[in-house]
Amino acid sequence: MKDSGDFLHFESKQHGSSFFLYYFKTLVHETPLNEHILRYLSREPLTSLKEVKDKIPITGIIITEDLKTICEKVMTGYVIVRLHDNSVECALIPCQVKKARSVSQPEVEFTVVGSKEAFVESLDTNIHLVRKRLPVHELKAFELTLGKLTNTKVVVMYLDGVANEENVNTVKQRLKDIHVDQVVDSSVIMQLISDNRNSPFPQLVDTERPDRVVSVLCEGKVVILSDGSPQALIGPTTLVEFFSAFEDYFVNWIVASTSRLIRLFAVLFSILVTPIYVATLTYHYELIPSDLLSTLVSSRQRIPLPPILEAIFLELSIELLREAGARLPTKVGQTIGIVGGIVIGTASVEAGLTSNVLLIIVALSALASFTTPVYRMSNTIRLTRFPFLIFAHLWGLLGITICFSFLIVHLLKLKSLGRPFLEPIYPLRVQDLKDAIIRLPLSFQSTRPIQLQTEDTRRFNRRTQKEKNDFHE
Amino acid sequence: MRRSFNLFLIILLLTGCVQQSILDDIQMVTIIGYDLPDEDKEDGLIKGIAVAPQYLADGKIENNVFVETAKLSKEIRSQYNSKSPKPIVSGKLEVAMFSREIAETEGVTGLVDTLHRDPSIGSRVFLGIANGDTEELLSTNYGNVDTGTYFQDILKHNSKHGMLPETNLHSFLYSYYSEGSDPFLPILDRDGDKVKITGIGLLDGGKMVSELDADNLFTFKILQEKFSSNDSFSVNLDQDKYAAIYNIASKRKIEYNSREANKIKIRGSILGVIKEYSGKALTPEALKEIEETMEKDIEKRGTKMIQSFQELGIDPISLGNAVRSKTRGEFDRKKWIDEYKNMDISFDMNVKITESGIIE
Amino acid sequence: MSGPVVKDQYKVSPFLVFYLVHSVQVGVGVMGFQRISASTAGNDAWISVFGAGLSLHIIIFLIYKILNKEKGDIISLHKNLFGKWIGGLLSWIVIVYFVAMSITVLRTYIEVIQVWMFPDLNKWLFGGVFLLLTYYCLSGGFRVVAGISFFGVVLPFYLVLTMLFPVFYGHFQDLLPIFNHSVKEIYEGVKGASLSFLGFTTLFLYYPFIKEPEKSHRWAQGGHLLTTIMYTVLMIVTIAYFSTAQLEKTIWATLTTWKIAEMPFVQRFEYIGIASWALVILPNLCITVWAGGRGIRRLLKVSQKSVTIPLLFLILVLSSLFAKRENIDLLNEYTSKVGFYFVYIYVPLLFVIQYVKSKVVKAK
Repeated sequence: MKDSGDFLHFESKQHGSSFFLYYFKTLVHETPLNEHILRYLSREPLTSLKEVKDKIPITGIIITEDLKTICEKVMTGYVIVRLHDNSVECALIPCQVKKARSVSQPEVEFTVVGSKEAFVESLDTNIHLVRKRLPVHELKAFELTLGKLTNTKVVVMYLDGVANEENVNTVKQRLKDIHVDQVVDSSVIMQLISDNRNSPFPQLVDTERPDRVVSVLCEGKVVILSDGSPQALIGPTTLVEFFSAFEDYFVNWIVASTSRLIRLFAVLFSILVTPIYVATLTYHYELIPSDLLSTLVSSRQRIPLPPILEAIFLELSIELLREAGARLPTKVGQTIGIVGGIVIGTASVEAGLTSNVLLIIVALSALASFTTPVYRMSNTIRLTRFPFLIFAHLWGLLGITICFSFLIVHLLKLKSLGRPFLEPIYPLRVQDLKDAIIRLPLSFQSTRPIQLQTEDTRRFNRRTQKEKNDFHE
Repeated sequence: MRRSFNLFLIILLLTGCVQQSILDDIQMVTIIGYDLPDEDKEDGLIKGIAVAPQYLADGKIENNVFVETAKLSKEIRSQYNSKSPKPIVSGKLEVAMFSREIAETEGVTGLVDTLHRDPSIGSRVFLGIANGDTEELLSTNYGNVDTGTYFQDILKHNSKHGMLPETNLHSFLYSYYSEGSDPFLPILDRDGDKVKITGIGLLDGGKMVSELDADNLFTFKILQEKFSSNDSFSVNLDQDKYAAIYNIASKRKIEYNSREANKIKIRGSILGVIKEYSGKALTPEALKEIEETMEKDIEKRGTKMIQSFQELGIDPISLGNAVRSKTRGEFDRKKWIDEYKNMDISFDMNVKITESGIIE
Repeated sequence: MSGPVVKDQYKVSPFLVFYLVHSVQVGVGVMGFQRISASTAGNDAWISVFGAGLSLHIIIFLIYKILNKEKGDIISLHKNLFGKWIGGLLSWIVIVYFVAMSITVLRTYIEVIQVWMFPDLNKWLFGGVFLLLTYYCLSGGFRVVAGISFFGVVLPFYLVLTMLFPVFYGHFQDLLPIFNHSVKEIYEGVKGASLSFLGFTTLFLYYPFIKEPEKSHRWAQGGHLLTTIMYTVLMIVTIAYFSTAQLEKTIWATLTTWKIAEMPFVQRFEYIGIASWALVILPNLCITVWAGGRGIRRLLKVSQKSVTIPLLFLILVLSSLFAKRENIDLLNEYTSKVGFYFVYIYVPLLFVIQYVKSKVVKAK
């Protein structure tokens, strides 16, 4: 350790007794070190380490001989105090520096109304944000350390007596089964504990909103927080949850249901519309109404590429734009988007590489894919389009149906923490439809989702919540 | 396993494609016409005229006309292909025309069968009989439109709102195969740079045996089906007094009783609005007079029409189906036609004028 | 009487039987069953269809009576009633029947595609991809099979709406006079209609996979009722839309009626219908192949995976061997004949034998 420039070790001789101090200056908070530790240590002679523990007003001081623990602790910001050179026994005083971004606005899941707090990289702050909103002792936070090298602290949170024991145990077991060297973000955990790791579909929701976490905890779900990651993982989840924005709960149920329906429509549109274009133009010219025919044919008149290449060319350029925009700083990214969208689009139509009808279709479907509230899901949706395109080229509409069947079977086989992913559509649970494709009024949400098999199924008494239903006199 | 899967995917992509018909690489025939070839100049038994629009990038439409003669109607298609830069497809066929000669001599059965058998041809294809030279009718340029769509639009709006009963492929086949009904087809003719519906050809089986001119279409449609239209019917009251009645909803009822098997009574009723009136004032009496004159006029025309149907032994107003639906046991067409010829069919009309426009 | 043991986690809830029964019935038959019944029963064919539907309600009732008593599947039933060898032979016949059904379904569907959409469709390749899809579905176990049958009913249900278009062209007086045909003609029509109702006998094999199977009886009846209503309405619409002789010439009446459908953004609905039909065919194939594979698995005591793969290959090869229209028709005819006797004669017979045997055992 002496190789590191920020590792400090010195001997202090005062009042006849000497002791050694070891610490990493980059990991240790200077104020408590100076104000508490050094002040107390220098006030009177030290005779034993027990004294250190009693006198210094800091909790969590450990006295140990175990070299491994000492090494571990010094790496997490402890100050080591040793009395004599020949004894191995040390006192470990916690004195970590807690440098973290302060709580700021959510950027990915921004909502106009509602809380403006988002998780940060510090686990303790994140737990604080949750506990603050859910001040009950049933809220449990099971902690464990993951990653051989990173030693990341991971916390599993759930409401005792609400969350299903089985779900909690599944999460705990899967976390314990992780044997990798680095866990730098909760996304890594998500990939490692997914039920089907070869599926492009995310099987856990990630969120940066503490209020969303609290809300799902109350539903009986399990939340995984990881140190160093501003994203919490939520499970078990369902496909429809990926298409529900948290803002849906802040607005009236009619508005919320409408926007959910629009989102679902957008997803279907985004996946299917370019393949349908390819299929009809390649095989099914009969389907096109006569009035539309002249528009389509004349727009494609000068284009040398078959529809499939035309579509793939445009889809890829949109992907390129998105990827370039994502990698560049925000302001440059915006410019790229505008320049790319307008210049490349117009130019390729004029150059006769693509038809303007397809350009509109592709742009709309790209736009539609961004309506999905969970970022991961919108990536998946854009990806799904490509196999559909290939099948559409192969067998037209028939190919699209076959690809769609593959998709459905795949989704049927998916599970999230052992619970069916397509619930409440399949297995059909009518009761859970209250908060799926549409969101019914809050007074209807009196029971917890069946999918979670919660131990306490009732959220509140519906009757006391019900508004009086009578005419005004 | 993975490698074999990849291999499978490659084979799929290489060999899986079925024959494509990319929209801008095909010639979509929108109207097809059949005629008998000129015996002196052309050989072959049948002449086919196909018109395919070519959509140009600047929004203009050119109509490519292909004319071929052959022994079989199916042979014609391969001959078209040898002349066309792009493969010819028939999936967007809108109208099929038969020349008067074909309809009167050979009948249209064989040609319609070709259309019926081809799965790519829709049921909404309109059929019609071309008066005059079919080739000339189809190869005329009717403005910046695709000829097929132009013909289709004429037939479509006239059967939807006008006086023409619906005559698409399905309706034709229905009556053709039906025991108690005979098909009919509209007759179209060229009128300068326009196309005009000149009447209806009445068919017995596949052959045209008689026709009705455009003036009688109104009466025919009343006899034929229930409808409402925006067309008008004018009544001559006196020599200088006439009224035009429009926006008409009509109903038809066939009364038949198997106990009186020799009698059929057709009751028609019309609701109409007066659009034009050349007389002085529209008094209730005048209205009554208009109603009665109209009733009589339509009754006269209708009865005459029915009598001619009976003489020809055809049943385009599907009285047979009405009788069949009230007769138990096997329904024999031959026997029915024999009976039909000697039946006592009466036609009773009831006209009601509900409004007389926005002035009195 | 020991039935097979199925773990709880693989079982499906009873109401899914509704979809399982309905989706296996609606398959290729519905595309053109009208012609067969109408060729004898004429304009009374809808009575035949309705009658066939009603009579099968009784058969489903009998199947449930048998299975509720047996608490197992048809394999254990055969073994208990007829002993190991005869029972095993009978079980094999049933399995062959299910496999033949899946071949019929796949081949007829490919034929429809070849005639209507892609005349040069490679049947090996398409069959291969479709069976790959089937395999992917089957590898998820019965739960996924039930799931796909659920989606196979729900998703293409919008096609029912397209039946409105022919209604506008319907001549409903064609239905009159009702009962214009003799009982014998109508009975022949029942026989013709029964092919499109078959397949629910797969119930004999998936019965142990249902949670509280006794409760699923009403769902099975419900699923069948939906089929009956659908077919009867379809038949009525078809009779009104076509004239009798025209219908006799039309091989796929349902598909032909789609030709008239037209919406502002799409014409020629039959192409969409045929393409969507893949979603209806898939559960059909999945359930029958599953039933066949499950039966062999129970008889030979091998894993279902090792049975399913050769079975799928067999189906691909056999279905591709049928090339001509007549052969496919013949295949359809034989499967429906066997199915007809299986349902109307064998099932009641099984019921009687089981009843007698249990009385005899009790008497002893």
